[in-house]
Amino acid sequence: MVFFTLITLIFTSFVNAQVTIEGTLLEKGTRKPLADVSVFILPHKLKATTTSTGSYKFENVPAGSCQLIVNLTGYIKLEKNENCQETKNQQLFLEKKFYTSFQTTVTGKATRRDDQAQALTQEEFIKAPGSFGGDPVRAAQNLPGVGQSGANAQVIVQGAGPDDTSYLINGHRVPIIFHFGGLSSVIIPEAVDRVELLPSGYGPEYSLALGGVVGLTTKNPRNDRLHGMAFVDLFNAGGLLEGPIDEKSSFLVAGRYSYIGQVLQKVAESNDNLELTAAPTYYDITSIYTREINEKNIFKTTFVASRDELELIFNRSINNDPGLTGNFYNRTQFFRIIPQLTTQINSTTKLDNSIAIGKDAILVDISSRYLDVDSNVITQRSELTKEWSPTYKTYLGLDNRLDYTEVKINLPNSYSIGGVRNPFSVGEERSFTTGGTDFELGAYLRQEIKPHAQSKWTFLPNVRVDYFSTNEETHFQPRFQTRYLWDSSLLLRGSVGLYVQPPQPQESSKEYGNNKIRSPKSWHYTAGLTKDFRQGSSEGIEVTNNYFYKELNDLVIPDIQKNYNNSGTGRILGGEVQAKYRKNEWSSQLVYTYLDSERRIPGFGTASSEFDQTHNLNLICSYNLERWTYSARFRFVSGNPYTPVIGGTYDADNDVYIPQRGRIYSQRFDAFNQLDIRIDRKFIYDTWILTAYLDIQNFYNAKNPQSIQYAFDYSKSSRVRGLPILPTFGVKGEF
Amino acid sequence: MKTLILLTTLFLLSCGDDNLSKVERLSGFRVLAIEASNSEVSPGDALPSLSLHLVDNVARNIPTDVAICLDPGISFGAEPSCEGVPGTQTSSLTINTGGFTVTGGEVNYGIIPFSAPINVPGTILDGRSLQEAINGVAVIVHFTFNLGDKKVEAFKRIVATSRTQKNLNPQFAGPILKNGTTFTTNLRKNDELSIGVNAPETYTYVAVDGEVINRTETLSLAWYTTSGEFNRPKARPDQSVKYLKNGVTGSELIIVIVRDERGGVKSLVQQIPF
Repeated sequence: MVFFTLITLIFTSFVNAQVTIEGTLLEKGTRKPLADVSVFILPHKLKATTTSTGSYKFENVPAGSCQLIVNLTGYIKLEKNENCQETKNQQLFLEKKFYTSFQTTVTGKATRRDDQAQALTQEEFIKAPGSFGGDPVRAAQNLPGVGQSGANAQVIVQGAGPDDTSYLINGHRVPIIFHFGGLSSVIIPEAVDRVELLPSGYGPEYSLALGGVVGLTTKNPRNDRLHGMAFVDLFNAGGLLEGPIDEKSSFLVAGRYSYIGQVLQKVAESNDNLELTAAPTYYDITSIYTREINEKNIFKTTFVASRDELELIFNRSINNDPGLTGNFYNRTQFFRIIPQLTTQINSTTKLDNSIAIGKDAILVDISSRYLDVDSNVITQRSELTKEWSPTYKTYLGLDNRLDYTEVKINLPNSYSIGGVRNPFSVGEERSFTTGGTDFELGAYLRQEIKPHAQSKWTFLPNVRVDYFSTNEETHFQPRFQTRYLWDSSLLLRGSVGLYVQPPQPQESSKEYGNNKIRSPKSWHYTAGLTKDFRQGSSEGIEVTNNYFYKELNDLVIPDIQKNYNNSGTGRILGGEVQAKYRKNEWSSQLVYTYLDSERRIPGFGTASSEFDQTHNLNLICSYNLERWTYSARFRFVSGNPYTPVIGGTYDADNDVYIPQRGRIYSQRFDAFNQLDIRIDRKFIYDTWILTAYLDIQNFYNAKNPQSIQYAFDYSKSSRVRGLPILPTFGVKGEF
Repeated sequence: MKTLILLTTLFLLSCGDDNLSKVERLSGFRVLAIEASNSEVSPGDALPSLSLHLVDNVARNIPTDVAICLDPGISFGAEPSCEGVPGTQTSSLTINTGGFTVTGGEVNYGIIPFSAPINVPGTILDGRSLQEAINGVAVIVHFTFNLGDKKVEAFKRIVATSRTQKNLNPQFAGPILKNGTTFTTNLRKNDELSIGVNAPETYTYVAVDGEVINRTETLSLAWYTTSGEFNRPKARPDQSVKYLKNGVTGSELIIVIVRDERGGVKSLVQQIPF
């Protein structure tokens, strides 16, 4: 009896044992803590809610078999059968339905100050098809108004030339945005928060660009825990590490190295025309440090460095020009350190200060001819933002640049008109060393005025003043923008403004150019609307429609007597529409730009501009299926105009033919068409994610002409085609 | 320069048609060189006599128009022509390519002399800068060869300079060598051709920043053939060029022309029997 009683007591106590279960709910793969989520234990109908760190705690849980259940919107329901026992470090991983998806939604809106701006966030450009593995600037070519530039992937904005576009990192100008003229941009995509395009009619914050502004903004390093990423594909490999240093500081370091040279060496081995003596390489390094100094001050420093190097021997001269043969060496490098301090002075006043210190170096050596440029650069930006009242806000800013440049040069001048360049051998040799200090001073005032707090109108009477020491010019640039919020779904906008950019260094050089040259100017007129048909939903259609007109004056053109003069004029007009549609797993967008860009050059008449692409259509779509993402981009773009060469005159002294030009830009290449596809597959593990992707550019191998190759005497020609089908396979791991 | 870098990138990454005629391959009418007895003169000197080094694949008469004028600024982008240039003088000649006796392949080679009783203006350097006076101001002799269905144009500069030591034509130091030795037999694939040249001259030059410097000429060679092709048709004198074809039959011409970057030129022809 005693024995029976004892057994009964033991059994009863076992059945009624109660335990405590403590754990953390994390997002699977990213280990992100999930806060305010209900965790249930069945069949006991117990519930706990996670804290901000994702932790939860159950007390008095009957020991024994049980089921943990978490059901959260956007995540796959977790049902885990457990043997409930005393646990202190339980980890539950909740798997998202979609981790990242290529979205057509421009999510830069929240931080976008300028209605004219278009932005792509990291999530958007990382998944963009045809972007060489998620390159932000190449992905920005999907945006309205950005032209097709072929293999070089220059940024052609609304029919303006590449030199008319300014490239910025965190608001500070950099000399190049692409490695090797267009393979990938100079910052690893994962270190970029967003890429922004300001095509026309933009505010007074930026200047010095008739065409447009392309800006990269580096991300703020995450500070929740240590994160890492590494990738490898056919062309390059790289990695990133970011995380907290202490409670108030975080860091990011990233780097990339390209081995495309080894690929090109294979090409060169089968080509008698050139020998690659050193494999072309490029690398870039990015590091970011942020610190919340106190409640009012946030400090961020970004370091960016980029280097491209190429060396080869041309056995046959390029373009049949004896002056372009033999050894060719090119090295382009720059770095910038960009400290930024943001001070929230009070609830209505904010001060942003930043400075960029760096160095640009370009060396091009063709046999004994060379260009060696070393430039020490400091740029500075400040902006005081003051919200005077709910109806009046101002932004007062400075945008300055100082550089000391040394140039060693031994190159002939090379006349070019209509995109057809005379051989180097014909030009007069210029050999000299020069150097000096140049500076550009800029100040601006941006005002946002509402007639009254409930007004649908906002007026932005802005102004910018620039001084260029190069040609000692001061420019007052009024810029006026207005917006009318018809209702919550319809925004109308318009702008008119003057934009000025200093002449290019070779144009204002007293040795090469004309030191009396003036700065080209452009009046921009824009009108547009954005209509959101989604009515608060995340699904549906959003349409943006813009029209633009640019009047170009004082354009710099070649001059036989003075090297250059300012008698060129032109105009650019066009319209663009972007329609974005999203529903369930589908997202798609249609981007169409109509463009008519012409230049008037005395002595050569009026002609289309080199980058006049009448029709530019981009169709992009994406489909998510569980861990798979399929995306595609189709582009159809009118062919660029070109100047036909109708013959050549033999220069018997230099053994070269000088091209005889037909009417400039009187002919066009065939239309460009290309389909790019991309497939991503994610493998989600508890603490890390593996992504494999296949990016195929020019899927059906369209033979798109990009330029013309001539026989030595210009008697015959053939089209040079752009990139053939180019598959890229890569894998990326991240934690 | 940015254009050059982009050109190079495009060259490396794109696909072109390599079937365009090669610069070294001789197949029809072509001006290979225009040799002047003196490529540099003093103001007021008589225009030097010229020798046109030509090839053609048919025997014919070619009416040729000649225009002589001040350089309109070709190195700065002006059209290489005397059209519209004040003071232009004209002349003409008829070239009979049937008289070309050096034959190889389907091409005949000949030298046509040209001279005109014209003096370089005596005031050509008046009022010019030191740079222009020493580096020289050119008179161009422009030829238009009327071939019936098309015209071929070529020009030669005669440079008026204040240099006391005028430029002399470069000279070859020996015959064309095949793999280091003289030869009379046909070329085979990967044969290496070379030729010696005399030492380049040193001359006075004024740089764009006004500095007066002594420079040494850079000599260059242009190689031509009536069949096959070379790996390096434009070469330095210290470079050999590789022949890239096998099994040539019949006669063949190898022509090499040396230039001194100052208008000096000399040619040498090697006729190879079968």
